[in-house]
Amino acid sequence: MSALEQFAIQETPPPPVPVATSTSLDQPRTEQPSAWTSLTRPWHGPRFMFTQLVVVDLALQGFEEPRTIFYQHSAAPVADEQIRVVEDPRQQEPLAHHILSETRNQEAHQDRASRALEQAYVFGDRREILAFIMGSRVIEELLLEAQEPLNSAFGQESVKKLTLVEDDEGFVTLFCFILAPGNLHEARRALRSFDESWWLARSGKVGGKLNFDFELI
Amino acid sequence: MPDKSQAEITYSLLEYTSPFKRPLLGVSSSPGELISRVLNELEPSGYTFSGVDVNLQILKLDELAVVFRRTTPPTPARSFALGLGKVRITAENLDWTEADRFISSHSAALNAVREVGGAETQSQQLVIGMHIQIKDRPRKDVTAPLLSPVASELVDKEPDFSGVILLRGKATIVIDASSVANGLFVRIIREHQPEATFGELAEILRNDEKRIFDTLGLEGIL
Repeated sequence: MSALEQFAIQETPPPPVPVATSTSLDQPRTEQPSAWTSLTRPWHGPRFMFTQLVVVDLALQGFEEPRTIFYQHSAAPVADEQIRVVEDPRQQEPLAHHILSETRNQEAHQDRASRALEQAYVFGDRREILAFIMGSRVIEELLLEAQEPLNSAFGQESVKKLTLVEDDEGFVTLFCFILAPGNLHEARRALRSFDESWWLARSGKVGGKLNFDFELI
Repeated sequence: MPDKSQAEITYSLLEYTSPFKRPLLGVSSSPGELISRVLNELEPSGYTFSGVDVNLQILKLDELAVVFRRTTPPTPARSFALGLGKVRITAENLDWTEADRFISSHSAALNAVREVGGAETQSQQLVIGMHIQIKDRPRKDVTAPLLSPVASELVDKEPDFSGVILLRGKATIVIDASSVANGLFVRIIREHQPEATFGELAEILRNDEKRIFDTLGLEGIL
């Protein structure tokens, strides 16, 4: 086999494999073995002798321009130990895209959630309450879930008003007050029905940060 | 009418549309000067060149428009769409505290369209849609006094909500249920004389808003 033929076997490099990215921002991004070095890849075989990047000299006949040729080091005890993807700024892009995508997903989720909540609840201080709710996925989910049980207990057109209440020790609770137009007895009965049918089974999830009550109007 | 109820405008969209007497076909071949002048006038309100776009896929000349969008800040959205046949200005959540600056730059931009493009205003229509959330009283109680009890007989049971539509000349006021919890959707549509200034339009709009809040017994920031 001529030198040219030998080099030309791997004339076209395999497609680059993106560096595996961390699943969370807390995890350090480490160098990952290049997947294309796996011995199961079709371009791996005994006749490839070295693994390194070579720019073929223009003097090699048949090539009109320099090109990169890939071939494999046969002496490597474990291929994955020998070949690693060198850090390349261009390969940061998938990570950046991932973060951007996650951020957008998060924003889209918050937007959807806040719209859904605004269709169900009256907000006291909109900004503060939304910030409080978005800080806890559990509260957000419970509020979204609570609409139907509240409607069952207090009526379909009942007005549910969210208000942040801070106690003497600075502990903040999000209260959902149902504006009850009936008398005290009816309102208490409705609240008890809501508590027993739905709320008591879930109240432990939020550690006192969410509560339901009524306000007579 | 009981004490005032607290209310908040959670979202509003203002739309001003002014068709021209004749389309601006003269500027369609070299619109650069007009775009430049309009952008200059809108810059004090946060519009920049990066916010200008044209959809060249549009086949109908009537729909072709150069749209100037506010970019600093991009929200609440503001836009000035200059078409061959009309100009349309939209503004989300426009606050009365910024009315003077808004009026100043947008009327200057419209004047530029008249001067450079030779546009002649045929009419002016101002529409505002507002979602108003009532904080401490069911919305049906707020609108109930607007209807006579006879209206309730139109449905077989007590209605959950009742709204109204009022027409007078070239003005329309709609009060409807909003998708916002315990909210009203209020739409005010008014057509104005071609020579009316933005300042005059704003004053009429503000009076409309005040009157609606007063009539409904609402209290809050307009």
